[in-house]
Amino acid sequence: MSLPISPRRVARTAGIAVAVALAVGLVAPLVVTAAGAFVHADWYGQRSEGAAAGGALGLFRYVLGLWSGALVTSLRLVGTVVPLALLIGTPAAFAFRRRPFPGSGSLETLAMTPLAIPGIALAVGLLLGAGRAPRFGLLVAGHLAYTLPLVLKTVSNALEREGADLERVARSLGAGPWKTAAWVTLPRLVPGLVLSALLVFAVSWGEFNVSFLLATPIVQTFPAALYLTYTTNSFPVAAAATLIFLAPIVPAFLAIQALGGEEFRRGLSV
Amino acid sequence: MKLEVRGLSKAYGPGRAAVVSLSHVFPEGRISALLGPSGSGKSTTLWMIAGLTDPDAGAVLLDGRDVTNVPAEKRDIGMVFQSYALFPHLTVLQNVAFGLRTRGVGKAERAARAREVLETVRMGGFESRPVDGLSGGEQQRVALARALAFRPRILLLDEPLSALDAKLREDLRAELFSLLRALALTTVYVTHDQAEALALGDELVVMREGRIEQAGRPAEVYHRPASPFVARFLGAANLVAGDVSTRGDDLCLPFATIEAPAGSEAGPCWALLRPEDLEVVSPAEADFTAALASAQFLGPVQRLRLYAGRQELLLDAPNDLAIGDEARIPVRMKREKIVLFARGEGETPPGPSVPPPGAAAVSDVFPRIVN
Repeated sequence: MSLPISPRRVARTAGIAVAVALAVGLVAPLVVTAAGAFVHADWYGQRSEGAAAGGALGLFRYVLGLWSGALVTSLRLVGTVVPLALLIGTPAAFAFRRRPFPGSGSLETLAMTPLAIPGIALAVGLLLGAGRAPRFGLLVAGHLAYTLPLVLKTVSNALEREGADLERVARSLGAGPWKTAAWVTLPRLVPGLVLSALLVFAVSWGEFNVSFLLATPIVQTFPAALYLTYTTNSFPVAAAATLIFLAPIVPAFLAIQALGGEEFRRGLSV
Repeated sequence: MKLEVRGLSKAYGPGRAAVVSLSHVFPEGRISALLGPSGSGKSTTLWMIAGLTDPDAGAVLLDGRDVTNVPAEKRDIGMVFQSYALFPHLTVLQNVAFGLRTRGVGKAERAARAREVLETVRMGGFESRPVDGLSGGEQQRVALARALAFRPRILLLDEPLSALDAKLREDLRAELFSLLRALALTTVYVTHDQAEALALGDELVVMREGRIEQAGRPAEVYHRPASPFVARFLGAANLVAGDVSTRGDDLCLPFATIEAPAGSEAGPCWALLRPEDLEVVSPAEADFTAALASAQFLGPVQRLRLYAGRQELLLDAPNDLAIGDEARIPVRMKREKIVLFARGEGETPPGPSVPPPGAAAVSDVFPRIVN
């Protein structure tokens, strides 16, 4: 028996429609923004503040000059947060998966809770608890709270999928804990670690709530600066700043796509 | 290298005992097959010997030295896992050389030695291949080569053939067995496949619920099982409820009374009659006659399903024996093969039952013939 319209076909059509709608919804604002930076810049021309004669190019130069401090802070911040999150999160995930101890389950749950805490609460907590600490240190702490759960989750999943047999076999072949980690566990974790690093980078680079509340006129992240731009500058300037903000994220995601080959999934040989 | 376990125990939580006070001396340079149904504790025992699972109590001794607290990586025990667990990020050669690398053997020497071992498992020429392109049989050989390359003192194999399909398993079995024999290493081979265990082991150790039920040469365990459990677990078995007369000289079965085996104890018993210990004879030689329910041609033999009264019996007849339309088949028991076990009053036949191939399907199709 065959129905004129099979439920499977309906489901597939609906699925495609939703995917297209989502893609359009996500891309459309970007198109508008890009248009804002490139097209409007010429319309505004001389009238756009600071973005003098050079059209779009001049506009970007202007924005970079305006927010270079924030850009450097954000770069320093992700440069600190990404390695720290991996260095803390990877051994922690390994301990939770491979060497569980009494109470490790609760501890793991506790480590995930920052994801459910509003940024404002976390920021206020950090200010009250360690307000005298260097502001950059507070930013690192705040970002770690939001990014560590991502590392824990991704690495945990990778370890779980992998199972412990490879590590057991390595031990039976004479590899102690360090050699096992270096020659078996870590090479196999490379895809998971790269994915974690990418997620941490994206979250930390775009994090607004904590960064905004902890910002000072001197120590300010780029998303916080972006907010100020939208509230105080003209639209072409804000649009150009947005594109600068997006610049490092797009290549990172493209890189991970390109890396998704056979060799990469198998883990890197050492 | 002599391997001994003493009072080894392991429980995975309260009431979840896996191995219960297990003691055994594995003969030096021989292959011991550890056989049992799943959950009988055989793999846990193997893992405790390897040092990958910590025992709750007891000791593992290598040549008399207690290694219970020596970590797995310092025991020099080679192990082949059920899943093979080849390192997917390494080539075949790098996999095999791994145990030499951990021991600090130089690159050139470990490559040479790994090549040599690959030759012995007939995997020469595969050195630079990635392992995920290998077939199941090839993976199994690489896993074995990897466990042997560093010249372990003991070799442990955890169901090394169970991941393969039936045909390949048979082919690889003979090859694996002759290789293991040639190595003359103290080897413990865990399996739940009775045919594998019977064919392979110099010694057969049958486990049940974390304990050793019986250990001995395979033929001895097969012919003289220590319990109905062992009898049923190894091969097909007819277990018939009977009685030995008060003076201990008559064995009364529901369908015949014969002379009891020498030294039988009076009282209720289980009589073990293997299908091959029953034969179709001329009516004059018969101990009893039985109704034929079905005949299954298995190749080397044909397996008859008979009913002697209400008692179902399996009989392996020669494959060229013509079975006509006779309603009654005359059957004789090979008396010297009968083994008796004590039986409690009203006891049902002890499990686990390993049904002969196709038996369940046959009984579903054929109506019970009761005369």
